[in-house]
Amino acid sequence: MGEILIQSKNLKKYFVDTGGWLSKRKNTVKAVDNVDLEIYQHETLALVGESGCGKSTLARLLINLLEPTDGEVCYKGENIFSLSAEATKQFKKQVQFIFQDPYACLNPRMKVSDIIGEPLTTHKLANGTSKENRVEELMNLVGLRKEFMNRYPHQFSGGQRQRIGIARALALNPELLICDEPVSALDVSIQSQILNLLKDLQGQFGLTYFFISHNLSVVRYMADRVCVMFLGKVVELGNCKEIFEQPLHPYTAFLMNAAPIPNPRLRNRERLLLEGEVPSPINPPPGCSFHARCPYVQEICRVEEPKLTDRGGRKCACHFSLT
Amino acid sequence: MESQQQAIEQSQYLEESFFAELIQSFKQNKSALVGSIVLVLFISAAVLAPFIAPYDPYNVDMSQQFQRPSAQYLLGTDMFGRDILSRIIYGSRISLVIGLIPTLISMVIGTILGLVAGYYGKKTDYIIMRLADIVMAFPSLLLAMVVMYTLGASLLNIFIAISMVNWAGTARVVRSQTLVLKEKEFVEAAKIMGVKNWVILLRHLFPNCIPSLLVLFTLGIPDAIMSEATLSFLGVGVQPPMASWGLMVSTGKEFLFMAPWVAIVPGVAILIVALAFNFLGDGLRDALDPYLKQ
Amino acid sequence: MAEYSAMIDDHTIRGTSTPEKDKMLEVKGLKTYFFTSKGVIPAVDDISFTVSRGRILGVVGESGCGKSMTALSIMGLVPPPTGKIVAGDIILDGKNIASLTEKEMCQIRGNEISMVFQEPMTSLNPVYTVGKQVMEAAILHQHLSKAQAKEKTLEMFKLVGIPEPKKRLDSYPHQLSGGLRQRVMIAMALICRPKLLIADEPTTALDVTVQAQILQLMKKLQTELDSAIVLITHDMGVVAEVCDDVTIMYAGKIVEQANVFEIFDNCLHPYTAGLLKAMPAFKENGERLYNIPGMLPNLLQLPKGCRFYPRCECASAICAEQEPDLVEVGQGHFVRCLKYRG
Repeated sequence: MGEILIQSKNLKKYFVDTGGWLSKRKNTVKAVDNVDLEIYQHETLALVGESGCGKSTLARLLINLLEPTDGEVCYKGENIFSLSAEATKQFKKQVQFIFQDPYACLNPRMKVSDIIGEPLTTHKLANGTSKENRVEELMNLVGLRKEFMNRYPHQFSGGQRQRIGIARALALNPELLICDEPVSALDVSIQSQILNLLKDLQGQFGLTYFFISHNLSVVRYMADRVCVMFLGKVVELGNCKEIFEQPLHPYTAFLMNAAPIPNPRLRNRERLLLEGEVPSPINPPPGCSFHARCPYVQEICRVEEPKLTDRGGRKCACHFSLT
Repeated sequence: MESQQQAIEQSQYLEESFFAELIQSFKQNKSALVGSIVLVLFISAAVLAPFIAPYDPYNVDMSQQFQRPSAQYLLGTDMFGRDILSRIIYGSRISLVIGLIPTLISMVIGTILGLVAGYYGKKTDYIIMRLADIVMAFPSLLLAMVVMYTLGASLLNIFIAISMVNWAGTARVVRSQTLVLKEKEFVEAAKIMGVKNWVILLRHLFPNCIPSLLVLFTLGIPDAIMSEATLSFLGVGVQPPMASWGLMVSTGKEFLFMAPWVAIVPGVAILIVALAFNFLGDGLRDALDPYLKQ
Repeated sequence: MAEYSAMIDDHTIRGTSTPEKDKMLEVKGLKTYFFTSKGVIPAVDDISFTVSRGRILGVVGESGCGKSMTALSIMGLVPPPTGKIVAGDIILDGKNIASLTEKEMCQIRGNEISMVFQEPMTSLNPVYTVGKQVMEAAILHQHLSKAQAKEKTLEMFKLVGIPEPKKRLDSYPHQLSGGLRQRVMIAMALICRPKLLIADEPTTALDVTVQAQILQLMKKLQTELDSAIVLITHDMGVVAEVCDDVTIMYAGKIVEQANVFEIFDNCLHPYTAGLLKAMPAFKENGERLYNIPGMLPNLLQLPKGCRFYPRCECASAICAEQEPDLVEVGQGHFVRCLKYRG
């Protein structure tokens, strides 16, 4: 494994809903709660979890789009929230984002050449013909024909728009790409084109991916390491293959087991089905946040919150853990 | 396999231009079409006034007082024997200018304030929006009249009065659009790549507000024309002998029973032009709506 | 695979020789076109399939292939004025419902056929309690009294596995989680014991763990009720989990039709094969994913000949010229590809 590229330390983001100035109500949503995570150079770290577990918030913290409530994010050893203006500019060049919705992520009133060229003009790296050449090069890289440079986003299909988004993200030669559900809005046959493209680009440029997805088969295909989140906390973190084959945390086990398997002969396999509903992140229960749904719950789980501890190269936040 | 390649390419790109859609939608919308035709006539009348007006609109000829509409005076004459048709044609210039300039000024003010309020939020938003609330809380006509009385009646002051009243509506619409747009991922993408705030406002938010601004603009013009007509009617707007439609109604009202055409003809002119702009505005809104939703 | 062979006994492969009385829904030559200012869009183009009592048919395809429009056609809900069923019969339990008037369809909709949609939030009215909304269907179609309807609703809530069903009767949709809302939708759809349930991407908007629960629920209901289920999805994983028969659609046409084991073991159409190969499941990290080149055709400018031809890797010259027919290649296995004609 390479060097640590980006690392979060005790990262917290709480959203407080005061309910207006007449209301006494004060709800705190702990979207990201004490997350310690490191991403190594040239790896793909996948983040999985169900809706509302804080995946997107974490991604936006890592890229300095949101201010954390507490904690820090270190990029190459420096806290990104206390960088000088010049250093922030450099940081923004090195970390880019690929969005889920290929329709909302492109400005409908800008031409493709302007969309892909925007990072270049913003950082004053190219203009005029040099910009045009670079845009051509990028379009070629993601499999778009350069003749379509002067078209508008609505003239493209979902998969092609996602390629435009990827070309824009690559324009500044970033080191880290944060991909927030990059294929979940695409059709199956288009999905595989984009996944292949992302893999190719990683090989070609030595990119590091932070890959958020709820689709476990996509994660299994893409990731080197996997991080599982539940209600704002990391519950398991480790090698992709190991996590898929032998999950340590009960929640991971449920998640892995719930994924549909495209083989009708396995349809009557033994199943673990979760009971109950996802607890609300507004008032999480004390102790382990998973205890209300965990079949292996013990007394200690209701009282004491388990720490994320090392279990033979992997990390797991469970008092007992499945072995 | 070359033909296969070609077939792929043919199937790949959706060819739908924005303006083609707009024209298509207008073809189906009869009232918008009629509105646009009326407006083309109105604008050409204003531009070509000296060439098409049959008489001098300011030429007083007491011998021709209160002539009924006839072959000689198509729309009759007023109490000073001036040809009403010529005055209507010249009056369209004032109406056009009054319609366009204050609306444009108020749109510019409203757009800037709306964008800033929506994008920066918090205190900036609070101050701007309360200001807009105050303006909107006053009856707009009263406010305009106060301005006119304080500053005195002149064309420039009419611009100021109407702009001061109308910006608040635009600011509100633009702000609410900005609030929606700034949550869009393309704005987030711009922030991530380090684009400056004012560039985001200018390049990403403003162009996406243009369709609604276009609609607001066309709907704002008749408002301004009506305001001018009302102000002139009340005697604080355009001053005689300038030919303004509102003023013509105002001066004609005294002879309403003796010579009804003096007041009615300019009234109908106001009505037609205001309606035409409204039709066009509604048509534009319908045509642009799918794009707004997207 | 030997160790699983025992498990598939209950899914004995039934061919086309479905007894007439077991046929719950038969769609024959259905064509739904949209007449727009830019031309005619053949959204559903000559679709035929049969669903039997107690079986789940999966209709699979990508966006724009006409799978949702097929469902709306069966429901009699093709959006007017541009959309229109131009040909075909829809035979529900021996009765042709394609020719019914809107008034007659209202009697059937929600009673004999019901539908579950993708987004459970928008399909429930936010201002009424879920209990009231479910009861309404029973009161309207089965002419039950309020008390009877309430009892029946409670029973349905229990059947679909809603915890604390009594309490939930008085909940508003926003107070429920996505999974619970979808269960309410299913309860609402099933309260009149419909002959046919159409589920349009019922689990797409849900999380994986919730999706697993809902799919298990559908399987359980399939054995308990005697309805036929049409499940519309783009996810072959979901198909493998619950469907008995599969219909693959591409650009408005059926390209392949067979029972689920045939489709997964022995698919014939290049598009079906592509869909299966493109799935990242079971692929080792590092192995390249198969992908179908190009993209879905614009239905306004369909290629001459086979609609899949521009993207097909097995295409030959004749595919550009001649449109293939749907031919039966094995027992109950139909495929629309020139490779298999005659």
